[in-house]
Amino acid sequence: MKRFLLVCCVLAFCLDQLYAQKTPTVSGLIISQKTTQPLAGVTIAIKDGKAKAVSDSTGRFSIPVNSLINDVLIFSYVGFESQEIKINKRSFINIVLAEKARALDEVIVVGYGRQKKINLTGAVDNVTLSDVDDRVLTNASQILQGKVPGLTIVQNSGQPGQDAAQIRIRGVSSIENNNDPLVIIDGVQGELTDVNPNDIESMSILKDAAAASIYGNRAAAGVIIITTKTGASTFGVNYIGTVSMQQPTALPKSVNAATYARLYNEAAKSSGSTIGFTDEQIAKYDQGTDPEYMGTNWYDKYVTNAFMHNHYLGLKGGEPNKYRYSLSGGYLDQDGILVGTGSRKVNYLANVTGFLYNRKLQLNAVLSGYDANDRELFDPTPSVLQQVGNNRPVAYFKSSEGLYSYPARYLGAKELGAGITRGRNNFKYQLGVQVQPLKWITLNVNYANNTYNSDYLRYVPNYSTAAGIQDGEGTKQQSEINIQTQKSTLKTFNSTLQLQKSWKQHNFSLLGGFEAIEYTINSTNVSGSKLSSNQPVLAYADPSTIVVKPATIAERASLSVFSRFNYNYDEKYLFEANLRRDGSSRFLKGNQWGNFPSFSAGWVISKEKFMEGNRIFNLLKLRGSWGRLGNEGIQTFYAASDVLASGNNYSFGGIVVPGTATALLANRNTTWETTEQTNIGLDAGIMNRWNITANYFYKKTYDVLARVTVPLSLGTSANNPYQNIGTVENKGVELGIQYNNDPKHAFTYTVNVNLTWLKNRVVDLGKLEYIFHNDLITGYAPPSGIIRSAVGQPFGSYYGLIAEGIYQLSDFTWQNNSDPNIPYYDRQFVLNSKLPDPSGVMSKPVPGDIKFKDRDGNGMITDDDKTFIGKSQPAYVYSLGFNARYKNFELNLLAQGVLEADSYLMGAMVSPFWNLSGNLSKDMANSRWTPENPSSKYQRLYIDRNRNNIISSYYIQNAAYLRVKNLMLGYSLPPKMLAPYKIKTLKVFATVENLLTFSGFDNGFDPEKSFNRITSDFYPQVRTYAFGINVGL
Amino acid sequence: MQRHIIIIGFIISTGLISCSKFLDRKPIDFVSPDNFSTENDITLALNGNYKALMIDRLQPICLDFMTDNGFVEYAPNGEIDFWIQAQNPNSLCTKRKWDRNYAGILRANTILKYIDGVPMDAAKKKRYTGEAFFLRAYFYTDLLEFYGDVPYRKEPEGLDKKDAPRVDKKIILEDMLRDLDSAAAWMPKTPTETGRATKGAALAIKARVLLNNRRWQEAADATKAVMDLNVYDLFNNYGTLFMPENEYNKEIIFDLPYIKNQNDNGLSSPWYTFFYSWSSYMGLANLEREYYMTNGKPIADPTSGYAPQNPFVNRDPRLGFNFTLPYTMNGYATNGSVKNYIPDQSKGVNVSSLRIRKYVDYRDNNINNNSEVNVNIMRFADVLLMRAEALAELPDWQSYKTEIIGLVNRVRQRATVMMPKVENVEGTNLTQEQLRNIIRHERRVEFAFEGTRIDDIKRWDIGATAYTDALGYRPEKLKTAQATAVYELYAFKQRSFNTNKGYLWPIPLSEMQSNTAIPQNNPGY
Repeated sequence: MKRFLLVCCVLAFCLDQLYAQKTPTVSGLIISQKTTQPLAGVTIAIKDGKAKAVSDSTGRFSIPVNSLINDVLIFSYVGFESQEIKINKRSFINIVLAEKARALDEVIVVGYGRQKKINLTGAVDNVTLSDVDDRVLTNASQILQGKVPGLTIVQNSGQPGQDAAQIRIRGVSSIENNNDPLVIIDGVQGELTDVNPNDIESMSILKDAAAASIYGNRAAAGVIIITTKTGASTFGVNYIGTVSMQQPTALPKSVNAATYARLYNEAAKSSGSTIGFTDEQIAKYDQGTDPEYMGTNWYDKYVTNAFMHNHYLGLKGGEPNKYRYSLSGGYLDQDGILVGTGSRKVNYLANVTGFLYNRKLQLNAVLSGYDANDRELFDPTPSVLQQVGNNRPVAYFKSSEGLYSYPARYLGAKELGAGITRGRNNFKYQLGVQVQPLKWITLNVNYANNTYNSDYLRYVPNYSTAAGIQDGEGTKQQSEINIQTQKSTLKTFNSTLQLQKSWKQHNFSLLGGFEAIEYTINSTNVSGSKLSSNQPVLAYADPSTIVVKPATIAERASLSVFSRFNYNYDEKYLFEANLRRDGSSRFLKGNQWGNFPSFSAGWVISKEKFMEGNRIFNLLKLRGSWGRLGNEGIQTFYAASDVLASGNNYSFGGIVVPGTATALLANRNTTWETTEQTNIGLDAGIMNRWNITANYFYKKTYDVLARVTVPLSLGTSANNPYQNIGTVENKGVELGIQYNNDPKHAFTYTVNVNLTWLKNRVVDLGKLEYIFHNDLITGYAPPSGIIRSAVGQPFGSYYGLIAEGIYQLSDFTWQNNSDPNIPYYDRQFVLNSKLPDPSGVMSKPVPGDIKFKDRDGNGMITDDDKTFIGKSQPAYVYSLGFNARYKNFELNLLAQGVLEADSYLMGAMVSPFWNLSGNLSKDMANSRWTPENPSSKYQRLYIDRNRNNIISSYYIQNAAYLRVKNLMLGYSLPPKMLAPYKIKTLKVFATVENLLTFSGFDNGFDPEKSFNRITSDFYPQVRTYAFGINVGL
Repeated sequence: MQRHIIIIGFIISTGLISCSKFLDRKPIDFVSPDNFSTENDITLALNGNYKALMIDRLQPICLDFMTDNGFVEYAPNGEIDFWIQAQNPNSLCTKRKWDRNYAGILRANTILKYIDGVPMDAAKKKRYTGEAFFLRAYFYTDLLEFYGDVPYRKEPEGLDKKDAPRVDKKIILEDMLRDLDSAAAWMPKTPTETGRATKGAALAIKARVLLNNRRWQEAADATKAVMDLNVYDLFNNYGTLFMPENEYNKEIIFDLPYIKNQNDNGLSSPWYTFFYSWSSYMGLANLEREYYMTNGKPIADPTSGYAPQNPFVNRDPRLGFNFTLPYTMNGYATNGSVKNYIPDQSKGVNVSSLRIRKYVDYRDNNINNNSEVNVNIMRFADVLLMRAEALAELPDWQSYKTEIIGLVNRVRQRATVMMPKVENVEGTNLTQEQLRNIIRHERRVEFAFEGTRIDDIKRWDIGATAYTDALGYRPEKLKTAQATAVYELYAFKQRSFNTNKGYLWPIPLSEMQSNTAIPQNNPGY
């Protein structure tokens, strides 16, 4: 409110000055460095003079001066670095004001309120958003990578619409449940996908229990609080647009058809098989003239460079003490690098606030949402990618009559409209009332309704594939249609009462609140086939084929009361306590309610008398906290009931009869997971140039819920109930360092360095030694048991045999006392009897096979020789940010990476002839073991599903990487040039995402992938080259 | 004004707190078994129990592709692991069988536990109980046959009973035989609806279990009981025995009732796709060469008249009904004309030049996973040959000689088969060993690709001679012009019987890992 009064005064003052204009005047435009928007209300004063002026709503000012030569102007504005400029005979001066680096009076958004950063006792990070507008971010989750210490972020996929990054705050504490942080958008729970990155005003990360415990049993994985842009007292329009070209960061390179055929024969011979290619066929592949023998590079057919364009238009304005508003819309149109994939998304946000009774009553309404439409080929993308990797290069693409072959069917069917489309849609409305009857009492009441709809359509028309190169008629493929709709609604009601009072140096604040949340989900799933017409309409399906599949209708609710008490003495000694009491409908009575307290304290040392006059520390603060958090985010709503699944239909008398079966067993004792966390932190500001934040944390999560594999003999197939069984601990050190040079220089720059060290350990799993994570493994049919969490080991470690090199010829004997004259492939190899016998895992070992370590020394390689062969979570996460500005030029660089990380990668293009027919990569072909070129590192080629699936450290790769995540070069046109067109600012920029990656990983695949993606069928990340403009009116 | 707002706010807040039912949420989209209250709940659960038979639609046919009858390499189901004798606790097939059977057992146990608490018609209750007993016994005896001793769960068990030790096969077997008797007593001779189990099904399955356990006399008695029902007889046409138009003919005792257009319900058969469209499942020459000449002589007999370069003429008609042989009919083109099978050109993974015809309805017309051909579990011919085998193994087998020969002849002389009678080729003065071989030969050629061969190999303990290299005819030598075709027999995949593993399958890895009461897998694993 003060600010608005100030603005009014300033405006009046301005007008006054305007009419009094007689002496020489200097005018100009003031722009914020961060937002590139004009700054209103900046005070302009003449050094050693009387005259003062304030910039108007368009950031323009005009001030009478005494001398155009000698006078010096001082520009000052709350929260910004002041600047002194010598007029130097200019009558028009452009000023870019830089924000004060982490100003002492910076206010940070915390749970259910705001606090001055200086008074914080918890570990809260405020995310720098200055570069967001200059990047091509397709999801708000991507903002965070490389920005905040303590966060491990994996950008899993470059698939349009499915490219939300996975965020882990301070490690993984839940074994199989939700590890995603709670996301609060404008006070209510939402998803990062809901917001357009350009709409974000501020983003706070609550990392420790002191900061997060006010969110109780939803906060164990940390909290991300986002506030969106609200109105302003000045009218402004902002447009940002980019056009981009995307290409895969990494893609396997396939051998050609002739090489494949030759190597297939080589592998067949050494696998005791005579099925293969004839010399005649290979010769034809070499010639490549016969249409049947041209061969196909399937990656070339299915993967392409892709185009994207992105637009954002924002509008804001208002009148002091009456109203303010903000309206914005975004449009993203992204093609995917996998042919047939893509996404279009429209985002919108309207935020209106009205002020009544001299701002004692505020009414606020927010409408926001998005409407997205994603497309895929007609099978789920991982399945398509698996097939692209598995398609043999010897296959033909189309028949001579132009009909697509079976491996090319996705492309053929696409021409007839086949594909998966997924409409995703979110709409949120939120109404809030704030009453401030007295200055120290604030009451807030909020209601929000957040609805998500999704419409999934999978459509395969009637089409044919060529069964042979001369097959013009083809094989008919069944037409199919599947429609799934889902609607979920999250309703939140909360009210808070805050009392704030100071007596002398004693500052008190008390917050009390109530919250009720209700969530409902309702889905349907219908499919049919044999369409009478090639249209994606269910009614065209043969009525007898229409099946309504089991779908979900469920609900859950929670009730909570919470309170926060703050006290500080002179902003020097700080204390805070939080308590939240949560009840959740997911659990049975008796396990339903829980208390989540936290306590924290801080000491601002730099405010002590003995620090007075020190020139080094402008800030020195020590913090400590302890608290308890919960995680109720399990995937089932009714853990205490046996689930009797419908859809187990059978047929009697030739007609379908409905049937049911127990699909999941109950566990009546289920309750939430509890996390206790201790944090010790230090904040230092040094010589107004350096900002350093360091935290040490220790986090222990107990009653960890896991879907422990229950015996199949219980009869519920692969479905496992939740059980509170474990304890997991995380500890770590986070360091954030920021340096900025003197903002008065023409060349200004900021350097940010973040470093996180994380150590995770499973402490206890009840009576179990370990649990498997078969449920978490994604991808195409990998063998079970690769990832396990075991007591004493980090979460999700890779488990298998240790590969100890490769068997060489000298490890074997063969017929006639190893007669060298016997042709190689006729030899009956017998493994040297001194070597451990691998027949327990691998039949008939021959030279070139992987040699496994006999850990128990019993002379046999068996499953008992398996051990931990890699850890899936990186030990170090680091990043480097560099932002520089010289005159009208800007440069941003963001690099991030991980160290000490392992990754398991198997499947097509990694293991030879995957599943007996998979493709071969050039790397595999070139480095393979052969009798002529006996490698000690790489295995031979074989055609053996069993060998493909032996889990060993051979497939563990070092996943450490350093990636130049973003590089941006921008140029702002001089305002003077723009003034005639009524344009305040105009910036053009070129930006690249994922420019370079340094890693020792298999060069066909991106090292940045989630630990549970162990097969090679994941969607590659994309490198995006973009060109953009940012205009302010 | 402001006071009002504060008051309203707090009224809303406290109002919600007092609403304690807010947190009381019950499942909406499903019921729990302990809430069963109506007959319909039991009916649906019984339907779901039958469904367990189709959880794995590859059963039981896939079992032939682990033996010397068939071969499949390029299929994600992993039969090849078993074929090359490299099966291990992680093999998919072992998990699928275990999974299916225990799912069926839980479903049956659920019905048997809760049916008494539900008000329903007494006769119906009896029949339902009989069907649940039948299904439970079917699933348990399948487990015993493949895994030996297994965890024995007699009622639905939860987390607290997850660790269940292996129980002596004999104990479970006795219980199941008793249950099959109860089932036979409570189920009708003819089903109320096609697809349901009957008295005859219970007795015939009992006979199979007894036979597999070499309880010859009891097996013979059980087969007699089936024959005495006077419900079943052989169906005249061997070639169309399983075709949809002959569904539920008098030979069929129990089968899986597949219907058209119900792939999404898991109720259409996938075998048309595997045998015809993909042709990934191939027949082996190892089996093909077992079919006699029409004169009743084996092809190895120099006097049989077998011509190696025209190998399929004058052979037992069942050869052509089970296999799609080179240059014979192989479906229809779009214009309705008949297509012939030319191995060199054939689509799919054609290694042996012998495709499979049984269970293929060419009228499915290139539409995959949509077949309504039922998959056989038990038919009357099996009852006849089981009886022949059981009698032949009795100490006083000689006194049954005429009956045994008659049983075999009955199968041989089906109208469309009409192979010579035993007495006309093999003679009458037969030793027990000769008789045994005649019965075994007859089983093999009669039940090709019906999934029974794996039990036979085990019962006869012929692993060493059955689990040998895969034989086929080189497809590239069988070109378009039939006149130039060269039948070159070749071994395309090597294997030998793994005596360490024997006939028992490994208990699946996940069971071993999660059920701490099972310390030891079967020998060899």
